[in-house]
Amino acid sequence: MAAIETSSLAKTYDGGVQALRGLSIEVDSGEIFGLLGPNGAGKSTTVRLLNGTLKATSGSSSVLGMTSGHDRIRMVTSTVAELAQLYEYMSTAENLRFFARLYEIPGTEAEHRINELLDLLEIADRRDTRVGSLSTGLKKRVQLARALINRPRILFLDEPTSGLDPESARHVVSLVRELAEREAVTVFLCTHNLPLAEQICTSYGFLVAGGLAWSGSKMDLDRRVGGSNVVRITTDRGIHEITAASDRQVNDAIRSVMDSGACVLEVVRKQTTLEDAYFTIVEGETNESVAS
Amino acid sequence: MNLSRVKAVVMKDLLELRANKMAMIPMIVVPIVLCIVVPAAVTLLALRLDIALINGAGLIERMLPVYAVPAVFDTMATRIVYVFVNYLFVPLFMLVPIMASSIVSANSVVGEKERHTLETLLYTPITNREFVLAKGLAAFVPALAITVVGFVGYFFVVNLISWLAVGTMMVRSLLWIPAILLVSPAVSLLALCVTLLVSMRARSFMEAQQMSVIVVIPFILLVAVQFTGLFVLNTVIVTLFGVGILGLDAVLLTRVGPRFDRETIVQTL
Repeated sequence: MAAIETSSLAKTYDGGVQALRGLSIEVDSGEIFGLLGPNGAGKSTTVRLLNGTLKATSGSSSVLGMTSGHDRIRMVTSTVAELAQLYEYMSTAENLRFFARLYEIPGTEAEHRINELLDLLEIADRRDTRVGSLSTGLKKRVQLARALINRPRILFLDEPTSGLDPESARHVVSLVRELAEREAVTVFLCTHNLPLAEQICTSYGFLVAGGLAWSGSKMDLDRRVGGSNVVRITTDRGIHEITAASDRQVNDAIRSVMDSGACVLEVVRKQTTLEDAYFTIVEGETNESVAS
Repeated sequence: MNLSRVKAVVMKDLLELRANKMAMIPMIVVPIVLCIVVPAAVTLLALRLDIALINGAGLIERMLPVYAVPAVFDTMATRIVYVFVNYLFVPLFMLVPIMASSIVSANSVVGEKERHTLETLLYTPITNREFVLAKGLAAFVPALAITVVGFVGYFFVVNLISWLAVGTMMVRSLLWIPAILLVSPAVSLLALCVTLLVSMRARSFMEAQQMSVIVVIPFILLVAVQFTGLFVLNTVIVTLFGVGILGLDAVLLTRVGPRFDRETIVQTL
């Protein structure tokens, strides 16, 4: 069963701004799905529609089989948003305890879970520190602990590395990947940070101006843009770029170059980055809409 | 409705209020000045000094006959002080709960918007009804507590001064009972409903407070009208007034509940 499913999901705000235009996606359980797009593409709106904070103008969505707007969705999911903050005058443990109460977690179980998360996120030494005095990176880790307090089955992450230095961002990325495996959580990641998404996502959706330009797995993406099929062979006579559908074909291409008497200096299978693929698809989509 | 969630938010809001100096200073200073310092000063000056020295005493003297003053107060000074402490100061105990509940509710909703914590709260399982109840209680309880504590302080300080000066208690009118037990909670609820409605769309604490201060205007008029002697409060009028405000509260509550939804708030974050 798909953990998240949307069908022609659309949202127009009170002022008439059309934030989302008929989004249809399916995210399987256990996936780390990256919804990628520039600022204003409708990523945060999608999260808010899925977690039941906003109501859709048209279309439908279901989260873990519950239709959109169901209050229980927020009981079994968690959201870490870019600007959403914790209570700065409270300590790390007090914040986690407060949110545990909102998720109806009994006292002893909550304390056990808090200790577990503080250890997991390596912030046990900040247990009694006021959140307001923590660095941005540490605050983000406390946010993640807060989001995991209810053992969510789906974790919505909206720009989780925003405002973090590269080292902290890398730490958050590895934590998310580790947590997704360890806690068996489906992750719905919204970001415009393509290298981040490439590191952790197992499937993607490209959102442009409220519409879905493309969605699929990493393998689908390679197939779509022909990513890893391009092989560059550098010889003493020059560079040859060939397209090979299989490893066997790569081998044949190298042999053929060597048979021609050239000396092979380097063979590189050209990796198409997520960024290359994203811009290839999004620009193609933009050109098509301009043409039509 | 999950009451433990409501309790968690109320307790959190009260702790947050205690940590917010911008909200706490007026919450403490204004009731002390209005409910204790000003009445104590008026009582002390009027009973100790020549009443004629007090500015406006002539006006109060002319309207004395419209008030029911016990015969035990047979001098001009004691009669005037009695009118002050049992009639003219009553509206002050309406201004205090209005001020307190609008400050606290603005802080607990718009203040959370400003601090970007409201979004985190709205992403939890708390329902709209639990949210409104929690935010309402978090403002209503301290507003009522401040009013009651202010009145207890007023009762003891003014009566102590009058006891020492004239050998009897001055704050003794029965109209204080409906004033404190009925009108104060009712006006507090009124200010609370208005502030919550304003807070849904307001983006800053100041904006919410400025809008909700409109509720204070009728009560300032009440103070002014009382000084003219055209309108005199008594136990029945105060009781009816309280019931009327409660009716208005009931109407507003039916409006606030359904209108206070996540969607409206989220769009102003």
